[in-house]
Amino acid sequence: MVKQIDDEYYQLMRQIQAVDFVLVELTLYLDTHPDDENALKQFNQYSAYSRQVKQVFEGKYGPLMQFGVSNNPGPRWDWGSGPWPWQV
Amino acid sequence: MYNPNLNQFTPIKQYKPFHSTFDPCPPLKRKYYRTPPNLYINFQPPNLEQFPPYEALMKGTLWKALYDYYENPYKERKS
Repeated sequence: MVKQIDDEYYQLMRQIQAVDFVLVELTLYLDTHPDDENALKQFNQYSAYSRQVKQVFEGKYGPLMQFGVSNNPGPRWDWGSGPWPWQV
Repeated sequence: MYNPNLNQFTPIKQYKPFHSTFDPCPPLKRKYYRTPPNLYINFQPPNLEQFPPYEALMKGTLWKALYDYYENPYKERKS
């Protein structure tokens, strides 16, 4: 059965993308400013939040990454049948 | 938001390419190039102001100071 893709899927995906983008920017910033505590604190906050949002997403729609990287295979092992990322 | 009066700072700079009489193509009146904010910031100071996450994703940068709006200045080009 194909997973139904409702607007909550897009909402969660948008949140994940936004948080991951902030993490990328902060990583680049911290590469050149290793001793900036505020950025480090913000980075940790966002990485915890990102993990949390991904947990919620994967609980509903299956894993974001394979080979156990996202250790929540979702309700059923059906990553092969769901709509593909470029179709969503 | 390209403003023609040059004394005010603008990230979009322009120059007039030389057009020789033997040039087969119509003359290009003005050519534009961009000078984004990161050229003017030597080393990024800490605690710069940030965009909220989703807006940062849409704008392409987390730091308000480094945001460079793009609009095609060639759109209304007649030549």
